[in-house]
Amino acid sequence: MKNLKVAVAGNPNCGKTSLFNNLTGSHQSVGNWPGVTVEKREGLIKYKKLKINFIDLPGIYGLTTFSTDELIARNYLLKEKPDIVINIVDSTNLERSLYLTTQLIELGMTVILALNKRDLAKKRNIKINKGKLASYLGVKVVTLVASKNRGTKKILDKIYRIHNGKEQVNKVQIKHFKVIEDEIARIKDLINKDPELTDTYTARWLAIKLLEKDSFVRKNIKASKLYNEITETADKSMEFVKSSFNDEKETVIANSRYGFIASVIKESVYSKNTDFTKLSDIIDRFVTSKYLGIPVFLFFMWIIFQLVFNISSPAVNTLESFFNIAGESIIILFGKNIITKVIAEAIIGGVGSVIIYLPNILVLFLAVAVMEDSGYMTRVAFIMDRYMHKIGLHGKSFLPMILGFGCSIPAFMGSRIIENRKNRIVTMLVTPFMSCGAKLPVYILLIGTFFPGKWQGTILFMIYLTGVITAIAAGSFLKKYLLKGAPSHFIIELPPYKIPSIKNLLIHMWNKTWIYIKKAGSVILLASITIWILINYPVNNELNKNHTTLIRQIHSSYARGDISSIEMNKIISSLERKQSIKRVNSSFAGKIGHFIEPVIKPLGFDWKTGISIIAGIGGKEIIISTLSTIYSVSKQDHSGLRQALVDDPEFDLTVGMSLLAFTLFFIPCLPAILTFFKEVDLKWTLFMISYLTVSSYIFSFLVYQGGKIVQQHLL
Amino acid sequence: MKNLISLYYLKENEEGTVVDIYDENDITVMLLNMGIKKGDSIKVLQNSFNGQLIVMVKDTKLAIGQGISDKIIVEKKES
Repeated sequence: MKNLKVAVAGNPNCGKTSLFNNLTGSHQSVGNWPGVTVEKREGLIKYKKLKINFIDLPGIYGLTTFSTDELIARNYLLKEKPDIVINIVDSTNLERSLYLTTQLIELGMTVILALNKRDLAKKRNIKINKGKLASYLGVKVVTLVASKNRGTKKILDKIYRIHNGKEQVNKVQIKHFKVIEDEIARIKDLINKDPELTDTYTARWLAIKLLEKDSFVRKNIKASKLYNEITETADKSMEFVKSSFNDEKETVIANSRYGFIASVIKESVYSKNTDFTKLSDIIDRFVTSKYLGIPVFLFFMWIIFQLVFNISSPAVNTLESFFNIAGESIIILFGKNIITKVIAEAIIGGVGSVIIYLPNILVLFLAVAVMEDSGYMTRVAFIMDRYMHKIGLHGKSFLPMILGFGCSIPAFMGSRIIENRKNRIVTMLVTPFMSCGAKLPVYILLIGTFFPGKWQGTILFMIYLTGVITAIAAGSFLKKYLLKGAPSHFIIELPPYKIPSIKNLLIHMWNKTWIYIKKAGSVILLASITIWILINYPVNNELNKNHTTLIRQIHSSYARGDISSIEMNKIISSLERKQSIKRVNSSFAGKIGHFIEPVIKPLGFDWKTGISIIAGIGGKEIIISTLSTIYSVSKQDHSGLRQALVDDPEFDLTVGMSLLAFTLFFIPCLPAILTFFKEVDLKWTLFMISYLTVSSYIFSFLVYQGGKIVQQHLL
Repeated sequence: MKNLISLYYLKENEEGTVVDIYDENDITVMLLNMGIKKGDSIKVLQNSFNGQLIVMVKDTKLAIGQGISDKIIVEKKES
């Protein structure tokens, strides 16, 4: 039997994500919408022998063509024709919510209207007559409290009954004013003359959209031989409608939808007007205030970075010792051969060095999820709007930038909420300054190695803050000189605050963390093994022969009694160390590293760091795994990367700071660059690569040279 | 006498009725999507006098930037 296709649609912040999580639980898969890199979530479940495939549509307010989100939802509904659409709405805000509903009905969808936040509506004395609402709109109505997972079964039951024909949905037409209906009929008649036009869309929907001057629908019917006649009629009709309503805008149709909604609400909703100050308003007085807004935001961020360090450090230390012991044990148990060396040095040394930072990543993702789910993030957009506006962007640009703390890829995708293309490109160009989750391990390694415990959280906070300030400054520059254009308009809903549900947080956090783990098991594993090979090959036979000869000589001098056994072991281990350094130097990696060393020398980097940075283009964590693999091969021990850096006299605080700066400003990883290219074009992708490379070089140079001067004067 | 001004000038806790939206189509459509249209009552909750407002329209709290607040013409309600 075919799977039933059920789409979930609704405004942002109406509880859509909770409902989708309730319906699908852990059976979720995340992919992309065709043609665009916008996240698409699906979930296949079984209910009473019925296989239902749920599709989460982007959160939207309408089905116009103003944003990518609306277009995606609309195209999906038109082309895929889902069997049922669950339209979740906020019961306490029915008028605005029903605006989308009317457009779903106009599309001819079979709609289950899910009235969410029933508990809140009751508290506010809003009574909704479900029967009347259902019959006026021609939909099925179900009440629920998505945040408490109440009413989920009712929805599944409704789907089941509608599918089995036990319940009929008596669809209705949204009746517009008579003047408008007459014009719709006129255009409809014309459309019906060309049967090809009504293959995918209904004539009525096409007529309404043509009347509204919907550019996409116009493009779609261009092939029709009646194109000119239809559009001319539609234009004339619009002029007539406008003049009869004494209105000069096409939005007269939209107003007419609101007219319909108003009469439906009048008949089926009873609410006593109760005026009360909500907790949200009190919180907002501080959080969005002109003077306190920014300090409060910075304070929250500071707390988050303290937590990132402090909560997770015991777990990180445990994981690190575990991997160190595992590496040693494998060599001890199975002896030294090529397989155990690959496992100990490349897999455990490389991949393990990245995995140990999982606890930090978890805490950061959890914090960002709490900020998003509680409703605080929209306030951040508002308080940042003041500054973003000054540089010609608006507050909404800050939302994808915050997503950039997780990963640049969703941040690039998330910038679709910015309507103006130029502003969108500026936002995407500055997003790499928002340190992504993969940079976090690099910071934690370096800060953890070179700074005392109580300062670590604050230093980390300062790094992120430097990134944010640089992003704003760079945005201002780009907007002023390269991507001039009108600022786009800022409007955003500030939903009431809510305590995020644990379930949603966990799903949110897990989806992101899983990506990190998958990356460690694939890209980073591959990179680590590649680097391991590059370090160990080509085998220099002459070097090995000389070494063996030397060792033999030492053994024979011990046999002759010239040296004691303690002396012999000392000499041998020192020889072993020198030998492995020589070997690494003559390897492929060593040769490449030495080749680029002159370029990076002014930044304080030796060839090891150089190789790591290049490898790090595949993913920032690879900087760590590469360093770790190089050190564990050349040092011939498995005491961990932190210890190795402490032991390396060349790698001091100034070099560490320089590498911090370099990581903060350098180009994003390859997958992110590809996403940027897909979303924009080659010209701007090349621009991004060059301006980030130059800026990272300059900053890192300044930090290293400045650090050296300070060091000389203090010593 | 009718007191018509742009929303930009309303002070905190003042209310007005939307009379017109002064623009090309874009802002009007955006506002309609968010549930703001002619005849609606808007209450200003916060105005930091750089055009950034927090307003209440029915039960929705919205943050509006300068570009928009100056284009919404309201009839100020006398309290």
